[in-house]
Order: sequence, then C-alpha cells, then structure tokens
Amino acid sequence: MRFILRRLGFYLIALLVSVTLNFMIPRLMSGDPVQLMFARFQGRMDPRAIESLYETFGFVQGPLHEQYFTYLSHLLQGDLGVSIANFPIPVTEVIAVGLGWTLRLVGLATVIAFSAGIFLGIRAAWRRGRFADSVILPITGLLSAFPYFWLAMLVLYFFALGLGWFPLGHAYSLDIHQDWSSPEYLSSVLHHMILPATTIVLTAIGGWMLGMRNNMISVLSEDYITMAQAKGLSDRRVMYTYAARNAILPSLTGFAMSLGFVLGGALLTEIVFSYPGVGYTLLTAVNTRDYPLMQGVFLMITVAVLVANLLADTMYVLLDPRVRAA
Amino acid sequence: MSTVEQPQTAVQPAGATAAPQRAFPRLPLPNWLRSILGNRKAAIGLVILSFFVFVAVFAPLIAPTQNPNRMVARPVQAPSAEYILGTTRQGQDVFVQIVHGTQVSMAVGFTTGTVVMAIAIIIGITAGYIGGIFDELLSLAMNIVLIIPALPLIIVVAGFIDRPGPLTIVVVLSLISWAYGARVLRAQTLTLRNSDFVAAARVVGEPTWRIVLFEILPNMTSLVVSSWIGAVLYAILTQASLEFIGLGDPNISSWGTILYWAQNNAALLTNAWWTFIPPGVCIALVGFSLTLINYGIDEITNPRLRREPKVKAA
Amino acid sequence: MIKMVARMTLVSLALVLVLSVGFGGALAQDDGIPRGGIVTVSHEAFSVVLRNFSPFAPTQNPASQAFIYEPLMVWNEVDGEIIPWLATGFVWSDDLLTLTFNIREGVMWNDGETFDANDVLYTMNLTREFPALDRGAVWAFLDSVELLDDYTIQFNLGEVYSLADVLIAQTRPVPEHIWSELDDPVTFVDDDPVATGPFSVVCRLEDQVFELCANPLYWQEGRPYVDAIRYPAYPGNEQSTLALINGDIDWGGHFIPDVETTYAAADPDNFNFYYWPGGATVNLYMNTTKAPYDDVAFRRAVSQAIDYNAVVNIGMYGYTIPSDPTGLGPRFEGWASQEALERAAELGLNEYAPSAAAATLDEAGYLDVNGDGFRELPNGDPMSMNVQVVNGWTDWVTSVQIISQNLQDIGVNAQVVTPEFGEWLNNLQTGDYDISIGWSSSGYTPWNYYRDSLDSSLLGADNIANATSWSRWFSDDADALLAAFTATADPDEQFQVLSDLQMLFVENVPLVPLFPGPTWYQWNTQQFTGFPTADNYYTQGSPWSRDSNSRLLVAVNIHCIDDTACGQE
Repeated sequence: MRFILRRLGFYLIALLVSVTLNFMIPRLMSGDPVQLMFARFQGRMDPRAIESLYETFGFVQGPLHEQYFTYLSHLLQGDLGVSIANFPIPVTEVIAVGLGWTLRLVGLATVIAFSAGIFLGIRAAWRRGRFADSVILPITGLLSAFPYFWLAMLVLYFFALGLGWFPLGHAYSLDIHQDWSSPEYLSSVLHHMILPATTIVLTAIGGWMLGMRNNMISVLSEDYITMAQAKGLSDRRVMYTYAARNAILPSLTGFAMSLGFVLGGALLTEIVFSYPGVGYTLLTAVNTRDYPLMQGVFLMITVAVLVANLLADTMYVLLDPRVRAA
Repeated sequence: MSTVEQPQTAVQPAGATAAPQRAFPRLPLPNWLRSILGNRKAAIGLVILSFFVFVAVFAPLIAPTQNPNRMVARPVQAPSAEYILGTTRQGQDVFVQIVHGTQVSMAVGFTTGTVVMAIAIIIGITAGYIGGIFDELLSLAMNIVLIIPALPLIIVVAGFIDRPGPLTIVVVLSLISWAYGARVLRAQTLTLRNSDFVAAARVVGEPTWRIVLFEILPNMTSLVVSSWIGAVLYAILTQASLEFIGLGDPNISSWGTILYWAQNNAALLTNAWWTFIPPGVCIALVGFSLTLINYGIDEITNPRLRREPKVKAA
Repeated sequence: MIKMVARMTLVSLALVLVLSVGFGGALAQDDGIPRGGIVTVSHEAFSVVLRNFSPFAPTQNPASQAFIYEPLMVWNEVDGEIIPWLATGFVWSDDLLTLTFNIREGVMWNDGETFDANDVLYTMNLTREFPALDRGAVWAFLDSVELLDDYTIQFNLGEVYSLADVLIAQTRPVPEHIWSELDDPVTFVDDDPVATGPFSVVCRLEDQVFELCANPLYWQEGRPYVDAIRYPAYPGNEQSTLALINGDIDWGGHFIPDVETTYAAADPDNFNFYYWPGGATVNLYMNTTKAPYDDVAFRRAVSQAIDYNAVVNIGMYGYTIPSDPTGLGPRFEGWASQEALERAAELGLNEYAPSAAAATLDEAGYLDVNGDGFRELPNGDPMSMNVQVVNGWTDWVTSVQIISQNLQDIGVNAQVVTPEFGEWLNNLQTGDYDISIGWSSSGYTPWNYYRDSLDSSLLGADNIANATSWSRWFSDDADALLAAFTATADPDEQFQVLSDLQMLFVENVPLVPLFPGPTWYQWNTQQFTGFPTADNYYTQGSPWSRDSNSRLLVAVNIHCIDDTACGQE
C-alpha cells in the first residue's frame, strides 16, 4: 500500500509538471494564432478586419503568467476552453468527435497487435526453430522496419484502388447514415476498419513478439518450469500458466504505455486512410497555433499515459510480489 | 505524440549480462566481431548494413554531383541506362538522390542513436547508482520526457535553429527519446549495484566514477549496444515519418524527403513507382539489418536464446 | 433520407431576367431541367465535421459563407460585373458620403419569416455593437446606418471611400428574429441556421460528412435544381485526388499534380478541369530595409534573372502563366497601363535575361571581387541570401528552387529555406528575412493588390508588417495615390490613379510579380451539368471563391444531366 501511495504522489508531481509544459511548449512556437488566421485568408480579408479577430481572441492575448493562471483555474473546473481554429466550439467537443474513432481503431489495433505478438512469442519460444520462430519472427521483424506510411499507402493503392476490395478511405460509407443500431452501418464501419487496423497491427506486432519470445525463453530455463514438467503437468498448462504468466511481466509496462498513447491517435493512419481521429486534430491545432486545443489534447494524452503507467505499476505489484520488497 | 510508433519493446533486449567470451586465437578480428559473424542472423544484418554504410561514405564517388536535387533531366522518365532509377517530376535523378539520401538518413539515424544513448547512459546509470532523492528526481524527469509532445516541439526547435532539417530532427529526437533507454539502463544498474563484484570494488575503496566506468558500464555492453541499435532504427523511421508529413527540409535529399516529393507528385497515381518504391525499400532494408543484428546480439549475449537442441520434448 | 423538392413560390419574373444576365443566358424558362441529386463538393482539407455554421465564425464552415447566408450582392470575378442578390442595387450620393441599397422583396428566411431591410439594419448594428463580428471591417469607414423604408437602407460614411459599395455588398444578413434573442452572438454556435441561402437546411451532419439540403422557400423560382450539396471529409490532397479519380467528387477545388494524366485521363468524357489564371498574383518579396534589397538596381536584376517559364511550367505544373511586370493578371486586363508596360519593357523587367541581369549587377557594383564564384556587395562585404518559402507548399517550393538556381547562375549566392507556416509568417511580418515568395491580395479592383503591399499605414505596432506589406517599401507618392483612388468614384480618374501606381511600381520594383494564382477547379459531368466550362466560363468556377461569392452563381445553376442519372440518392 505504501508503495502505491508513493507512486501516486510521484504521478501527481509528474502531472503538474506536464500540465505546465503543455502550456509552455505551444507558446514557445513562433507565430501568433490571430495573425496566422488572418494570413490563411491569403489576401481575401481586409487588413483592417484583423482588429475584429483580436477582439474575438482576447483570451489568448495578454501576459503569459495571467494566461497560465487562468488556464490552471479553468482546468480545475474541468474547463478546457474554446478552440481558436474552430471558434466558438469548446475544445472538449472538438476532441470528442475524433476520440471515439481513435479509441476504436487504434485501441483495437494495439490490443490485437499485443495479444497476437504475445501469443506468437509464446509459440516461437516453446517450439524453437519451428514455423513461428523461424518464419513468422523474421517476417514481423521486417514488417516493423518498413516506414508505416509507405506500407500503408502501398496497401491502400493495391487493395483499395487497384483491386477495389476495400474503400479508399473514411470510417464508414458516406452513403450510409451514421447509426450505431443499424447492422448495415456497423458492417460498413468494420469494412472500413480492416485496412487501417491491419497496417497498424502488422508494423507493431514484431516488437511484442520478439520481446515475449526472449523473455519466455529465459523463463523456460528456470527451475520451476522443469519442476512443473517433472510433476507431469500438461504442456499447455506449463506453457501458459507457469511460463507465460511470468514472461509477460516485462511487456506489460510497454503495453500500458502504448494504451496511454492510443489517445494521441495515429496521425499517419488518419491521413492515409482519411480516418477521423485525434492525431489529425492535433496536427491542425499545431499548424494553427490553437493553444487551447493543443493543451486539451496534450492533457488528455498525459493523463492517459500516467494512469496507464500507474495501472501497470499496480498490476506489477499484484502479479509479482517481489516488487513490493524492492 | 504518437505517430504509429514502433513498439518500444523493439529497443528492449532480453536483458542479461555479457556472457564470458571465448577467444579464437587465429583470426586477427576483435572478439565481438567474430561472435557476430558467427551468428547467421547478425552476419546477414551486418552485411546489409555495411553495404549502406559503404554507399553513404562513398556517395560523392558513386554519384558525383554538386547538388543531388539539381533539376538535370526531362521529368518523370522511367528507369533507363542513363538514369538507372529514373527521374522525378522536377527532373531530378532519383539514383543520385537515393545515394546522397543514404548519407543524410544514415547520418541522422546514427547521430541521433548515439546522442540518445549517451544521454540515456549518463542519466540512467547516475540515477540507478546514486539512488535516493537523486534517483527519484531523474526518474520523474524520465517519465515526463516520455510524454512530451513531439509535434510542436519540432516546430519550436526548428524556430530556434532557424530552419527545419536533419539537425532539427536530430535535436528533437534526442531530446525526447533518451528517456526509454535511461529507464532500462537504470533498472540494470540497480541490479548490478548490488552485485558482488561492485561491492568488492567499493570495499577496496575505488572512487565512484571508476566503479561506474570500469565495473558497471562494461557489464552492460550488450544492453547498451542493442538499445543503441534500437534507437538508430527508431530515429531512421521517425525521420522518414516526420519528413513525410512535411516537417523536414524539402531542399535536401534524404529517403524521407524523396518519399515526400513522390507523394506530393502523386507518384503512385502516375505510376512513377521508381520515386516511391526504392526509398521505402532502402529504409526497410536498413531497419531489417539493424533488427537482425539485434537478434544476433541477443543470442550471443544470452546463450539461452541461441538455437540449441531442444531439451524439452514437444 | 430527407428529400427536399425545390418547388417555389411567387417570385417576380423580372428578378429572373436580372439574374440571367449573370449567367450568360444559360437559364431555361420552360423548366425542362431535370431535378434532384446530391452534388458532392470538396475544396478544403478537414478530417471531421464540427457543427458550427455561424457566418461570423472566423474560420467559417466553407458553406456558411454563401450557400447558407447569402451576401447582398455577388460579384463575378471573370467579367467584374456586380450581380444583384439579396439587394437589387445601390446608389451613391453625389458627395460619395451616403450609399443606398435597395433590398429585394419576396425573400423569406427558411423558417418562413420575411426577410427585409430590418434584418440588414440589425446585422449592421450587430457588427457595430460587437467589433468581434465585424469581419468585413466596414465600421472602419461607416458612420451610421439608417432605414429609409422596409426595403431601402442607407449607409452613411464617415469619409469618402469609393470601394465601400463592394465591401458592404458582401454583408451576409442574419435574421433579427433569431439573433436578437441570443445571449452572446460572438460565441453562438449556429448549429441549425435560419438563413436565406439556396442550401441552408442542414439535413445531415455526421462525423465525416455533412449535407445541406435545398431551401424549399428559396427566392429564385425553381432553384436550386439539385436536392442537396454534400461535403465529405478528406484530410489532404492525396485523399481528395483519389476520390476525384474515383468519381466520388462532382465539384472540386483541389490542386492535383499533372491533372491531365492523373485526373482527366481517368474519364476523359466526364472529368474536367480548368485552372483560370485569375487568382491573386504570387510575388517575390524582398526585405527593402536591408542591403542589397534596398537597392532598386538589385531588385531589377532579380526581376531579370528569373526563368519565368520554368517557374510556371515546372514549379506550377503549367497551371498558370507568367505575370505582367505590373502584377496585374488577365483578370484586370482592363486596368492595364500601356505606358507602365512599355516602361517595364524598357527596363527589361519580368523577362528572363541572365546576361542582362548580370550586366545590371555589374553596373551597380555587385562584383565577384574575391573570386569565389559569388558576387559581393559594392562595399566588398560578402553577399548571401536565403529565399524563404512555406514548408509543404510544394509548387512554390519548386518555384523557389528554380529561382535560387537562376540567382546562382548570375553569381548571387541564394539558398532556399523552408520554415513552417507560422514561423515563416512571423519572419516576414517582423522583417526577419531576405527574399520570400508570397501571395498578395485580391479584390474587386487592382487597388487591393497595391494597397496591401505598399500602404505605409500597414506597418503596425511593434514594427509588424501587416497584410502583404512585407517588402517594407513605402513612399508618400504611393500613399497619396492609394488614397486618391478611394476618394473618387469616377472611372476615368480611378484609371489614371491606377496607371500612376503601375508606373511607380515598375520604376521601383518593390516586389517582383511571378504569376497569377491559378484557381483550382474540377467538375465531373457523370451526373451533373451546368458548371462553368473553359468555353463558357460564365463565372469563376472553383467552389473555393471566398470574397466574390461567385460560387453561388454555380450552385444555383448545377443540375442533373437527365431524369434518371441522379435518381437513387
């Protein structure tokens, strides 16, 4: 318990520092959101109209320390402010649209990549030199060495444009109305998810598989495994209940981190497959110097990663009593 | 940020101390190289990597040019005897670009990897060895750096450096990527600190810096090397991604910028595959070679990973 | 699927006749025009749809500006004609201090309420009460607005400003009966707009698409002909290009590399494009507060050194033409001063002549004294420069790469740098640059082009160069001419003032015009027709037109090719 409390305090400090960084970094970028907005009209707005923009965006002007304390006090009230680039829509609303899709696509892909990687890693370690070990392992290694966007674009051009098996983009067919209770819509969502999810899984699986395989091999030479086998337990039981359970521990932290980062979206996937998500929202926010929106997305990622880390720490304690002593 | 990052376990080796190495007296090769060449995976990886290092080093001789981006020919020519990888929409020679791009991409990859590992070693080992409040603070820093958003940071750094480009990418990736390696090294240092030989050195009265430099560090060589390789791979892939979304310097030739231009010129739609396929394959080959070397190092340093007659009947 | 059939009420025939002038007579009276269908439009990159249709939102939903909230008048960029819309016309007083607009009768808001001059008055007063809503900056010259009767409204100017008519004509009235009830019109998210536009009914809004259905109460009888306009989300050029090739987009405003082979060739009968070179001129700006850019001889040499054909054909994919030395493109042909053009020819401006450029530099004392292959400043100091261009704007990046090669060819050490957009803008506004490519302003007359780059009042607080005054080249003569233009409404006087401005421009080369911006425009005739074509370019065709609202002319003119093609959706 003391361990967890200490970690909790530690995470609170990390959160505070991160929140401050989230405020500072956007403002360190050169360029003023109002001037940028005016410039994007490229001469189609009268220069005198810039006054009306400054009038609108008074809330990102003024001394930094004042802005900072306003930001903190609003944050405490759960208010993330109003987006600049999408004025007057609140930041939470802007994020919410992409967030659902990000959670579904990237979340699902991360879980699949992890589970498949772990499973294949176990197989590869258990049957050294067999198919999983000598064929799948190098292939997943090669796949994770490809630049993601390159692979994704080839896949899109080949399977969607060339063969026409999959749609060219979007999260669902725009000819179907968005309605989560309609089976037609659901199947369209799934169909549109296949290519983007597959590309993410393919490039991510190699790392999990290798890590699990190596840990598993180390664990397999431990005495308690030999002991279990000597007791005549089934291979299956030894493999999953004894070996894998211990071998998975080091991968868990990494998995927790990845789950946290899911909320950041998958920018390149979103661009290549015209998929909605937080990644593109963040890119737009950065390009338009939309301070409140950037802060909002960063805060969300920060909190998610810290919570995921905390969970991983806790899980570690539960699964591995040795840590408590350390 | 998280632009489909490589899972960080790729950086994470099996985690074991260096195994004692036997000496082969006849060949005048250093031990480490002999071990690597003795491992099939590592050997293949090393051969591929050496090829690209060779191309990078001798780029000016292989494809002599003042400026690889000079518009020299009729645009969008398919590969031919004259232009073996064809030309771009802007009339640049793709082969020349790729050869010189190898130089930039490899330089960014290896520089970043090295800087990242240097920071990771200093911070990770210091935190692990000194411990106490110092450790707490450094660990806090590591955790915060792990979640610093990269996207705006690149623009901030590019602003300070005055232009985006390879240097910006090196600086930004170094600033944000050391934390993972530092965490791994810190954990390893914690284990080693309590080992017998370190305790012995302390009893003898060796100064801290000597213990760190001559007792702890050499025992983490394999971990450092494989983390370094992981960092190089990560840097090469991330550089390509950043350049692809337009955060690089489009005036220089690197694999990422060639792809960036290919995509902007709709290379795949106009069937100008020669501007799109080769840079991607180069990145993948270098990445794969690094992965293979890492497999090999794991196997060499952790004898359990080596393929051996199965003890357990399946 | 919400089906809205455009069946209309009583609108005077005279109105339709007035309109048909603007359409080049394309209007069929006997209504043999097929109805129905959803036109898919795409011209801006976005990845998710946010529900906000406020006409005052600074980054507006592309549809709010014309299809939902209509302007008082539309101007046709191609022939310069001002077309009556919610207003039927305007009259200036002799002293140019009052401007009277006649408001159209018989127009209804899409909730059935009547639209009249009271709404216009309300809108004007709203933008005065809330300066944050005055996006057209009309209160910079307006003094007051008063109602003469329910369909006549008078604008009183505080000073003579002859361009006020076009600016006021762009006002998009909002309904008083809705907006006066709001707590805060500035932060009002107009999610279900009450407006007059032809497509002002938001009938579908989802995460990646929204559709605007035809307004059944629209004031133009029988129009619009199609059921709805659909805006799907595409995050970038690559994705919209794919969709265009796939036939998913009917009306596009996208840059496509090698459009002939990538797009048009995919369905030569139906995939069309026309990039009218009528956009604002793209220029090379030089920081005239620094040496050597403060030397007109150097600037002239730059103008002579550039291979304009290469820039246009390689950099811009052949989508535009080299600019005149005065910076006025084909759109403003009628304003061109022969005198200024002759003077420019004498000076050799805007003509690729490396030897002439080298001679100009030699004469002005820029010589390679130390023999390193690059020229030095006349005082012997080394000379090197960065040419800036926004990262990611690849057509401009290529153009600038050509220009820097051209400059190197005449011994000027020029390198390309590509800052990110925000960084770049900051550099130009604060004068932290040497040379840069950049856009300029468009307007109803060429005045905006010169004003936005030369007016000394644009140099604001903190030494920020606003609008496109990035060259920082200012003179009393220019200021006086710019002011003289808006002080008169007499066409001959205005022409003379602009001729003098053009002369001043070619004599001093404050910036080097490169090429008129192409207006990206694709249309797909698989299902719909009625678009402006290269042969019958009745108005600017791009769905992108922001200030002129000319896309309204297209939107009410598009219709299905026959009775069956647009049936199913």
